[in-house]
Amino acid sequence: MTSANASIATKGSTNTTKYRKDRNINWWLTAAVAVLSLTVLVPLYFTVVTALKTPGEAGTFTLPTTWEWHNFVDAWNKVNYPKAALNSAIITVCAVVLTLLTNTFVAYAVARNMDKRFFRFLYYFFLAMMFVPFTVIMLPIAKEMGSLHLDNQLGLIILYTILGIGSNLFIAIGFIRSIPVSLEEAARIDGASTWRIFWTVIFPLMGPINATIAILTALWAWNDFLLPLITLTDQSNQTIPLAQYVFQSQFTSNYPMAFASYLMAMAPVLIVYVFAQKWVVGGVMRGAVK
Amino acid sequence: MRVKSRINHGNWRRVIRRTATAVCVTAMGLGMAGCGTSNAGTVTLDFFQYKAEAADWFTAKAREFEKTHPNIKINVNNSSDATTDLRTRLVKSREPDIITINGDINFGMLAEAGVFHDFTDDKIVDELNPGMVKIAKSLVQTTDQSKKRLYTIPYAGNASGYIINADVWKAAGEDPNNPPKTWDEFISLLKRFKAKGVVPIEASTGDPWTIQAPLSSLNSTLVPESEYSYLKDGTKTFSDLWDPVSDKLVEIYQNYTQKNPAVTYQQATQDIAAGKAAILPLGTYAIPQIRLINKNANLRFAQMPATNNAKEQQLTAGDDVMLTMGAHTKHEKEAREFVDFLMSDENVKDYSKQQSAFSPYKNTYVGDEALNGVLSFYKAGKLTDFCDHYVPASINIAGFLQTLIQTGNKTKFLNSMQSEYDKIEARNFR
Amino acid sequence: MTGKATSAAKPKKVSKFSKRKVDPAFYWMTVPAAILVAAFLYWPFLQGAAYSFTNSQGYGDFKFIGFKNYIAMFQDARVGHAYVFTIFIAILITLGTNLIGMFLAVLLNSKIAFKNGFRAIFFIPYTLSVLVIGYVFKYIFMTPLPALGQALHIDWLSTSMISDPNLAWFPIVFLSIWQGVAYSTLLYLAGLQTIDNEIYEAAAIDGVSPWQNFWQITFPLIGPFVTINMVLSLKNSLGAFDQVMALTKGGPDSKTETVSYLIFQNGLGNGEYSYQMANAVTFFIVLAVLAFVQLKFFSGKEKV
Repeated sequence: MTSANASIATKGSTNTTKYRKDRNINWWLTAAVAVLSLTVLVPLYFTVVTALKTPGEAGTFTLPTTWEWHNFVDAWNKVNYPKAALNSAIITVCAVVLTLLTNTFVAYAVARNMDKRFFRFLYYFFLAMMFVPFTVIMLPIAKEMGSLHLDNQLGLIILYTILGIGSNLFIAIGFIRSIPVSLEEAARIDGASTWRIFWTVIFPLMGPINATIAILTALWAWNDFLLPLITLTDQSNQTIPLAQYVFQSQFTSNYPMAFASYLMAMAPVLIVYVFAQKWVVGGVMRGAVK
Repeated sequence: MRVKSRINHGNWRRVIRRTATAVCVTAMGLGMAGCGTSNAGTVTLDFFQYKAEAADWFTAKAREFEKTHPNIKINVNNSSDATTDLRTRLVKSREPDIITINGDINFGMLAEAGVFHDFTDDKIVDELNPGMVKIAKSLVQTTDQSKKRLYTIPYAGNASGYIINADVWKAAGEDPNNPPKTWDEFISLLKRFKAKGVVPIEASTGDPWTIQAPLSSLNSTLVPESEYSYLKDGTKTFSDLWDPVSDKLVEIYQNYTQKNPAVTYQQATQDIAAGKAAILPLGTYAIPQIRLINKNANLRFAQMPATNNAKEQQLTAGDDVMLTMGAHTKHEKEAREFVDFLMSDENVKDYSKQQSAFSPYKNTYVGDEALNGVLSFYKAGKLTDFCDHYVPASINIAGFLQTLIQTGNKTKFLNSMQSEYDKIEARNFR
Repeated sequence: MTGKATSAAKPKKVSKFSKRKVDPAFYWMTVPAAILVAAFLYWPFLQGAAYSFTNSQGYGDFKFIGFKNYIAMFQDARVGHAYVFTIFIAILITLGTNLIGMFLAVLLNSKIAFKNGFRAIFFIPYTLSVLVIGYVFKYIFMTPLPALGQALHIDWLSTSMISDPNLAWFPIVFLSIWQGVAYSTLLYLAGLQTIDNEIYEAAAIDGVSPWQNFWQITFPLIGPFVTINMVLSLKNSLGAFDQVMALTKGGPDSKTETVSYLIFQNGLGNGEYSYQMANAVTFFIVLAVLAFVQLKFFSGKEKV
């Protein structure tokens, strides 16, 4: 599937049909979709509303009678939110950058050499990674990271970068193969080395799929719970989801404070999403077309 | 056009690559920083703290200690799932320097594996309550008596029985200072509450571990600790040992609880604080939770009688918090300073008061006046450890208990316990 | 390229791989990565498999005990139940996610207003951490929902589903589908958008019903998407962990323990390290077989 071209083609066609046919909106269907969208919105509404109530009031779907903004302050202090957020941010940013700088050329090398036995083997070698469930390596990896003194943020970043190779290869390879070889051949005639060709010709062209990889990696690294649980030893390295887990038992019955904490955990991604949703959704969808 | 964009992208790539390197080097630096530093004479101690309810207290104490010991920094790790966390750490070869741990079977297994410092011949032992020391020693999971050494310092004792809402008792015409001394008296009391429309017992089966509390409360009188070695060598089964307690649990939970017994532990503490029931069948550890909700709650604590012989009643008690050091700590001197600081009379009393615990020294100090109800048991040494400290942790006792009280099927419960126990012993290839 | 000698002499087997020279740079691009992957994925896996033949607690000394862990495991009803439960919810989650995802994708691709807005809303669940939203749902299932059930006099809804051994699977499946649908929908939407509108227009001229439209045109054309999505969905839902951790912690009475959860809880938490490693190795084999079967099944159907 020539992904790079296909998305342009379909965008074109839907644009023309859209401008002609959108007088024809089916409002019944729209209403149906709106009702279905409540399944997503109601739990979110509930979270916000509970976070603003007093402990006695919590538990219903009604609006709070008093708006207890201090719950957010309490949760902020209790969970040490700034530290957790900083940890999450460092890990996510570094993981995304490192992934983009490394996984991409791996995909490129495999894509361009599928006709060689060795690289065909590598393709399956990397792809098979997607089928090894994390649970299976969870215990031994804990041991390994401990003995390598990588039971910290650096270790996590390394793990996210390496463990992502399989799925990133899977996503990127179709895209790369749709890039015509003529560009590289032209550059090679000019005397460019393979590395130089990659960074100056291919990498820029991979823009759209890089965006996809970046988004998926970012969402994974930010929201992941199991890897940090196993890998991180020191609590000051906690990521946001891990902090929620650790403090579950300390919230006791103060549900509003707990919910304020959950809301703050969800907030960064939601805020970025609100501003960048078209880009995020587009990126994920492009990654789906292999 | 292609050539021009190639050059621009080249610059862009360089910029990105440089920033990325910078960011990652920072991350690496931060990562390295976590690797046990000792710069310019500062010693960083790794403090693993298990008790969620006491997290703030221990953190505050660590900060207080740091003020008077400027060359020592303490990294407080308040764990939420101590057994998993501690084991994960050991798998990663990350033994903490100072540890607080609950006195249960997991402690026993770790102690047997040589993870903790040996305090047996330490001078502090002479000042400690011998009952609590005995409990700490018996917990070590070994059949070799000589290996049952003291691997921790008991820090706080607790007890399992039931908590009384004195106001509710008084309103119903009962005397909270004179709780029942026998099983029959206890059941009559529950019947009287029920007849008056008062919820006798606040159950919390939404958190099934809470059913283990009355199990332990009753079993201390019904099953002496020594019986469990017969279980281990196969001469006795759960049917022999836990039959009477199963009947009693079914009787209590099926007749004398509130309408929706499936609330959580948190909810149950709220309900009893609000006076919605007469009795909360949990241990002394629940008292601070109740006081969090209602500081002036009028509470008493009593032993749960299991038989009709008032004289043979035992109090289920345990070493709730034990303090120790890692066996292989690189900073023994500094770790010991912190341990001594925590063991000071003033700090021990403060902890007991905050957490409604029994202090570990010979002159037992009770942290909450409600505990006076069972002080005599502590003083007389009529203490037996929690029965679930003798059962492997991977057996889902809580789950089985939940099914037991819901269905009343005693045979199923006892058989489940026995078959799980046998399976685990069978694969205990050590 | 594949030449076969037609003479009676023994046919020379020609490799379908080319013999051209490969630029060493390509080796530099891939071999270090492969080594790292081997070091951080395959090697731990092999180590873990090795541990499953010992009595190790994960630390301290241990000795080799052969297949004893595996034998004990095959007789362990709790492990068996975990597998049955995991497969049960995985099937429900995969089917639910894909069917609902497909349905929503068709809806979002049709003539409705605010398409992009709705698409954005439906994707939100995917951006959230499973654990955190799991805690939110745990509370919802525990308190307001039973309250609603009591008000409406619906018996089975009146107590928390999470504490009911027969119904505790529902919150887990519900949460997994709630989040999984987000990604599924987008995937199918992407697939739907690759279908040229002209095909539908041509069919409309011939006068086809929406049902025929879907089954005869849409479904076959998005075949590859269905395959990939089903395979990945199944793999992900078989590994369900975060949801169980947040909602039920395997309860009530071990009824909702998934294999992943059991491995973590008893392997790391309760000291049964090597025993659970045997479980993990078995789990891997089950997953590999399932993936293989699925791929064979679907690539057979995918003839477009």
